Amino acid sequence: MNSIKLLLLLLLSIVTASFIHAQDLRNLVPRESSFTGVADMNKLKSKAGFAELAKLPFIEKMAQSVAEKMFKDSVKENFAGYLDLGKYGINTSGKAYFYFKTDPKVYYGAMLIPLNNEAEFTAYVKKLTTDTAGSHVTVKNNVKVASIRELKLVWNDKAVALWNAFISPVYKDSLRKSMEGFLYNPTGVSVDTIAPPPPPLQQDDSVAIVEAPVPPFVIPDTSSNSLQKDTTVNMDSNYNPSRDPYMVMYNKVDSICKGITSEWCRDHEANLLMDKGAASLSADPEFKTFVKSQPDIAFIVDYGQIASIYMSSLGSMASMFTGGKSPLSGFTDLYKGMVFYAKIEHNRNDIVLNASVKYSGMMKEIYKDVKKKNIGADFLKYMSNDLMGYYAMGIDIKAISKGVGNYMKKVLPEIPQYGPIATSALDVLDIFIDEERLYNIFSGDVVLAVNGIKPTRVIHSTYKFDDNYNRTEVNDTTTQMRPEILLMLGIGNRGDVEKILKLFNTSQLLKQYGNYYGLAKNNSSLPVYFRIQDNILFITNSQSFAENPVVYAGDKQLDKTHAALFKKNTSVLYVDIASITGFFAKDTTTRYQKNLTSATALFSSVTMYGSHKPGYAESKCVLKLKETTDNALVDIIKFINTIYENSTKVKYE
Amino acid sequence: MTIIKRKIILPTITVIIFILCPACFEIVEEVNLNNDGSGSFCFTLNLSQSKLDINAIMLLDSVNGRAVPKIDDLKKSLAQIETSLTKDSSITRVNISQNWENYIFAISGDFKNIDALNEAINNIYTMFSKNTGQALVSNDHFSYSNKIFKRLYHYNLADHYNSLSGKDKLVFKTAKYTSVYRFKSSVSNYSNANALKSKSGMSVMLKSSIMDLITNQKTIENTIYLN
Repeated sequence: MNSIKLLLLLLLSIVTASFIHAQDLRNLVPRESSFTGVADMNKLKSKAGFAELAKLPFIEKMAQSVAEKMFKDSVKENFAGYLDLGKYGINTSGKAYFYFKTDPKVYYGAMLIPLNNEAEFTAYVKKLTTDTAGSHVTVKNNVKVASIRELKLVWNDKAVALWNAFISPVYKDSLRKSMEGFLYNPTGVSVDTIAPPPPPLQQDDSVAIVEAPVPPFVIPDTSSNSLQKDTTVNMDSNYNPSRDPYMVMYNKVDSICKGITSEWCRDHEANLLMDKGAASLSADPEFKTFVKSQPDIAFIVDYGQIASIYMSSLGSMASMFTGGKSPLSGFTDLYKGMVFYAKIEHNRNDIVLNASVKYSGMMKEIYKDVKKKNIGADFLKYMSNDLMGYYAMGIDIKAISKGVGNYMKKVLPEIPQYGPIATSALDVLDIFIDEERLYNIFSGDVVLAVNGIKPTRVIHSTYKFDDNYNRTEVNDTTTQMRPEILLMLGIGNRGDVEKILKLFNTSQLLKQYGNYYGLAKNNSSLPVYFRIQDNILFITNSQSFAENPVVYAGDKQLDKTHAALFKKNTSVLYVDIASITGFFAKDTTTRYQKNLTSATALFSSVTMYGSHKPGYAESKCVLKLKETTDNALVDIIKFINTIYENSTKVKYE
Repeated sequence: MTIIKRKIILPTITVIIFILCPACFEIVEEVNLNNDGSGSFCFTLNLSQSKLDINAIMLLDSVNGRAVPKIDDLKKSLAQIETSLTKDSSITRVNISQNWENYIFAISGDFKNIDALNEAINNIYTMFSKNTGQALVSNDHFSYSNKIFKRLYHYNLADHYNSLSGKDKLVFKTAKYTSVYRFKSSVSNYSNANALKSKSGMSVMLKSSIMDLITNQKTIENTIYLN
């Protein structure tokens, strides 16, 4: 895993080098990877003056860290010089790709970088591996192979792949379970002679999962077999792990896994630079369309594969069931075919991430009746222009409930024992619950807003002294500044919501104060108030607001761009970063004050919004910076450098 | 959600609290003295102005690196103080009032003589010291003889205050202290220039900010001469 981090650090170091144009390597990237990333080095360098950025203390420190980690054994001085990759045959003006893929036995990740001079690169590798005789570089099937510490390299005249692999945790787990069974082998067969089990089959509709057979437990024979004599773990000072059968087994499993991984790497390394044709990323029409705009950075995540890996790793749960499908396969199928595309552009005063999520078949079924396309605008007048942030959603409650309900009815019966019971229970509930009425209690619009720091009335006790200094306790009111938090829920049926609040009031969970309610003291020490107005249920920490909801108008109302976002999207998140960091920067006692002040000077806001379309969802995230002369990428890197410099100053002050 | 609440949301609220409302509490010290040296006392800690903040803090595990005590633990401590004071026969009618809605606490009782009052105060400090781990030094806080009543002041809080973190110091920023001493004889004179005599001439009051006491700009020390 350390090599994966090295790959990412190396990617960052590449951007500091000079360049010549080279071809795209997407035909070398497997189409079915779990994760794929691409960075357009040429574009990134044109936007950020990396030669200048390379002089920043933070970048210098990072370059030194990378060089020390990678080349410590071979290079004694001038670490950073070895990272000026343009000098060593590496073409840093093309596109670099990174991908992660799974195999039944092995997971592997690779970074592909174009080369423009194979000989120079080969000489570079020899220098780094102190390989003057060239013995560390081997030639295999027209590619050269070497390794630098944990990182493996494969290259030809077109590209280099930096990669590594590790054993699949699922496979290792199944191997360990098989070996545990053989610990009590009555035939006295040595663990060394046991062959590893076949890898578990991939989760697939057409193939049932078959677990490797586990030998039955047999009472150990306490005669001459030395392994069985030592089956009891001795925890006293004479404990010798080399005679503990469990430790022997675990070490054996590790050894077998290392062997399998090495063998796999030897078998597959030459394939990394093979043109994969129809099985490559270049044959993915959706990817082609997505990167048509030539983004700075793009990546694809196959949720289906990631979910499958995750569900498979819950090995102990799946192994409870033999034969048939894993009970979690229904949930895995929810994500099967679901792909997330994202691309990032660094502009002058903002960084924009555009994303698209292609739904799986099941997701399409769930969302097929969703008609809601926006968020109600009624909430906007209660949001002031000094708000710190908000999150707004417009949910088509009826369509989503029906979609999820249908999905659960498909998935639940497949869960043994409890699934059919749950399905029957849901069917019975359908008889008693008026779903239409339930869906219409609320409209589906929800906004959580932090409205800025507002005066809050606090009634407290203090003391009054008469002329003879006799004390009496009196109530006094002070105004304290607090962030005003508003949770607003659009109401579909006001009568039903009022009934719910009345029920809570009569059962003393709430206390009524005129035309609003508050949490009863014995239920909560935090102030929470409930108020209905304009078909909105307000839940707020401000008693003043609950008494008399403030309507903001004119200059005090939220900017009209937010109304446009509400009109065209079903979810919006807005955070006024400058307002929040500026607020916390007032705390002179915090050691982060300098960083917060720098953040306030740089950042403006971040807005994320998205909407559902037929078969997919689209979203956009815009990180806005204040007006500067540089590209946003440069500003962010300089900001990170500022944080680094502040942290090193604090250490040495 | 509980972990998110405890680790992220509530600490964020705490930071907001300390920025917006650094300190809002008051201490009231009352002693009613009879001519024979007996009397009654009442020491009050009023945190009601900070009750919103305290409600939020009580939900946390710690604030500024210090563990937040649970209400049950605090109630036990107060009960222990009451028991400790009651054991001393020279202190009677001990009462500890607790208002957990507004966070107002008062310890009151009768004393047979000034030494008993001093002993009671030292006992209270002892009980708090056990909980805070701070060393106790027994002192006389009051004295009375020959119709001269003294409020003594041995504390150098400045050093301790300066050792606190910035956030801890904020706690004391607007805190207040009031002392009222009531007598059966009229007051002829008193030494503390910041104190005031009542219209009846039978009581002396001193009001100060806690910060002034910590920084030694003011003192609670007072020598009161009775007729």
